[in-house]
Amino acid sequence: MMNWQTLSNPFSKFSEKQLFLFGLLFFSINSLVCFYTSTKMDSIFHFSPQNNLSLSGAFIFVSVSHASAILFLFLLALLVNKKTRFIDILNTVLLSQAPNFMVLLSIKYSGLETLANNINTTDGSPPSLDLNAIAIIPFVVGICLMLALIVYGFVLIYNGFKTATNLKKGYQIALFIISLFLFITFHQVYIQYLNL
Amino acid sequence: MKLPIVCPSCENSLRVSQMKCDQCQTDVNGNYELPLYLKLNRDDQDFILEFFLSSGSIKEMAKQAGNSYPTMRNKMDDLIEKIKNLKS
Repeated sequence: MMNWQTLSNPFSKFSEKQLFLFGLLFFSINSLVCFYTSTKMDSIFHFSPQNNLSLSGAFIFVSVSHASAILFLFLLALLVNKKTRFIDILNTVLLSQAPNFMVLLSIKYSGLETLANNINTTDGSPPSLDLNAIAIIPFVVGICLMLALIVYGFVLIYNGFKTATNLKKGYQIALFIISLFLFITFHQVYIQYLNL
Repeated sequence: MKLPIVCPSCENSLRVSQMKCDQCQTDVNGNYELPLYLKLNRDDQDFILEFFLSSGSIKEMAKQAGNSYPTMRNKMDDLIEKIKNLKS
């Protein structure tokens, strides 16, 4: 029976094989949706628009972002608990990125993408946004859905890491949160220099 | 009946002061410490028993309890820590 506890922390319930298979499935979906929406994944939880992105290009960006995060979090996990298994961190990263494809689709179909393009293409002059009460509903729904999915992704990565490492102490939790945000920021810059 | 291990009034660990032979009704009085295993709460005692009955396999225990391996291993690590604290 699926309940909120299982949804927020599937790592406490399901075997590593089941989690890995689901993780791989979402990894493939994310790569395809990145290609479809012409968006490159430049870090976990972070995407940027990229024109003419090929399917292999989308796959490479998703792979590099996942691989770096897995390596980084595994090293961090070993600092917290030497008994941490690699597969648990691998599954944590794979599943925490699962909601991303829905974020990308909600950006595309709620009209947020068009709105962002309209704002970006104006040259210095204030953008002329034709918004009325009805037109704004998809934006609001899209933004709410997007925020909920992003928060859910962070809940998954925190719970996965917590389960994999038996994270408990306050300073360890703070170290994890700060390191994660620093890593996400660093990776967005670092990936530009890889010439992928 | 569950064996109480902490004082209901001040929550300190209880000690054994009396034992009785069911056969001849002999009473033994003294001031004995509870064995380490009995100082653990019921859930922890059950966990150790399950671990023993599954031939020391955390993986097997996890499967039986419907939990993941790391969840069970974390439980085990917490219990080891608890026992270390009780021993010191």
